[in-house]
Amino acid sequence: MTAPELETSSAEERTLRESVREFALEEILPRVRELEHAKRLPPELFRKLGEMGLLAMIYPEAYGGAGMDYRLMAASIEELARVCPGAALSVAATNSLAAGQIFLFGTEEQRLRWMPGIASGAKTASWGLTEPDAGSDSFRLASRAERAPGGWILNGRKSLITHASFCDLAVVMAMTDAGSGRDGITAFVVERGMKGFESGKTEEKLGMCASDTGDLVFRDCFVPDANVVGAPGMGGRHALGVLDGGRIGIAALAVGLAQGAMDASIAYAHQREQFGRPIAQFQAIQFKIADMATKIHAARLMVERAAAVKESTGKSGHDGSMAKLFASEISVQVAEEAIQIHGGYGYTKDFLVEKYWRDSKLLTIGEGTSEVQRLIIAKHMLA
Amino acid sequence: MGINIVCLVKATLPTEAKIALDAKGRAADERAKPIINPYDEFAVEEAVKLRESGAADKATLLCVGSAKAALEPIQRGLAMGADDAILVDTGDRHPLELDGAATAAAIAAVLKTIPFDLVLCGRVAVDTGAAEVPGRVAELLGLPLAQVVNKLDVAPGRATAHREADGRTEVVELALPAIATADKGLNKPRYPNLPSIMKAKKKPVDTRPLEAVLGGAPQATRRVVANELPPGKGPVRMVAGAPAEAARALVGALRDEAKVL
Repeated sequence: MTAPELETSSAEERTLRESVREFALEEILPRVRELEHAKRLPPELFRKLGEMGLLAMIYPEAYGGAGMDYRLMAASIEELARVCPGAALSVAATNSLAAGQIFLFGTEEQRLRWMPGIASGAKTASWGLTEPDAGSDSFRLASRAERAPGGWILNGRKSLITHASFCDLAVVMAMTDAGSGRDGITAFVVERGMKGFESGKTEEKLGMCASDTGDLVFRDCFVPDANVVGAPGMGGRHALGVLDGGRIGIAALAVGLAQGAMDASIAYAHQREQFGRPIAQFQAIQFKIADMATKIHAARLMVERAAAVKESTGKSGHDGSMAKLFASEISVQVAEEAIQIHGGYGYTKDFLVEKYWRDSKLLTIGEGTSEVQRLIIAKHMLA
Repeated sequence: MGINIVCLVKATLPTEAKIALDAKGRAADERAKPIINPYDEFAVEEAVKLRESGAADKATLLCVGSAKAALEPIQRGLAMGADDAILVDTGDRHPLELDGAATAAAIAAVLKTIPFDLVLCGRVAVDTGAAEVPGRVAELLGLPLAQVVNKLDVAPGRATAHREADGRTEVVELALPAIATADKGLNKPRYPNLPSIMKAKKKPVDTRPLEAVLGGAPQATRRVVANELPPGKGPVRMVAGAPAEAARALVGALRDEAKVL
């Protein structure tokens, strides 16, 4: 099956989509269930993703990146998610979060020190903002870092962190000036092997199981000054900047997931016969497919728009939030209808639609819930 | 002394495309997006591998087609690692207006203007299935030709090609410059990685109008007068009843109605 074609898509985007799709069909599809049970992507797959250029898409070649724009990054994540949303989540997180913060706010030396490893897949990275008591209220951090000679002493716990159980490094936000709220937060790069840094529990999740999720724990962990990213006190603002770009990735992931669920539904509707004919000949099924296609098309256009805004202004803003809100919500709806089209078989693990549905629910929550997106959009509309 | 390879690439319809006929009864080329002819992909992969191994210095793509259709094979080939491309732009012409003779004439005319040692292409284009262009180009330029090659070695001045012959592998040696056509099995074409796709758009594409290349209008030697689609699948009849009875009815139908027994 060929990639979805947009009227505006360039030959470059077509080549890219085809190439990423071929990669996903060959390297990921045969082991979608295996990755789900392993609850992580194996190191060897990270390296293949790195060789393919999928782990640092929007960054310059000097840092190991592919030098692409947000639109092409979104197209790539979409094609991965169409086959395996969990793998796409690991890829989206790797592209946007830790690498994003180091690229946007780190020094040249820090970029050269950490980004090539992340880009090649040799090093896996986490990004830690969320804590047990700081979710949507993301700056109410209990993690603290205190001044020490030549660096900082970090204490605290980060939760629901992608790649927590095996990351080689993590960008972690912690309070360094407790009275200053968002402006009292500093970002640190913590590296595996540092004394006082370890992985905590690994979560058992509803979906997105191919992507590892867990806790990062810091007990009197000394972090040298050279590992502070951006000026002390700027970590909170910088984290918001990172999330602004991350939303495009999650929205693209939602579009790809919905496309994958619809692909499966169309194939099934042609093949499944009831009452003497393929169920694709019944309007009840046709209308579901029409609604799926319309929602996916709208969401994809919104992702393109958000990517264009990000590219031209440096900030996706409410366009990014609208894309993330809409795409994630429709991905849940489309995946649910995909199960309905498959009937009883859709409820079994013999088909992938149950997995698309379980995976989809994360998207209305991760990197800013639907409710947080609505707050951002409303703030813009009512300003 | 460097070896320059020229890869002939053609835009074809995806193999899963549903072929439809346009108002003039020609296989429509507008409804499905073209892809690189899959056999040409083996040729490009081989050229890029030879360049990467140091056996060749340069891999150039050569495509005859409309600028719109040729975009895909050229983009794909450059992303796979070819160094540059020459497009012979056929303008608004329907692909069928340019037969194998005219296409080969255009390719030979371009090859006379550039240094090359080896021409590689797919053994056949999956759309027309004619497999005539490589032979015609070899004839026009007086080049040695090895068809349907599944292993290729290149050294200064000569190439050694393996071909599947009847019950044996035939090993042939060609003095360069020569032309070889790629079969499945020659290699496994790579899917281009993202940095290569980004670099591809910066590689030079030399566009030459067909008339300028040929020094006039193309001379086709044959004309497609009709295209016929295969007949559609007939209705399916289910034979009902108990096994013995159904089997009797089925045999009866096969013998008396379908007349295949």
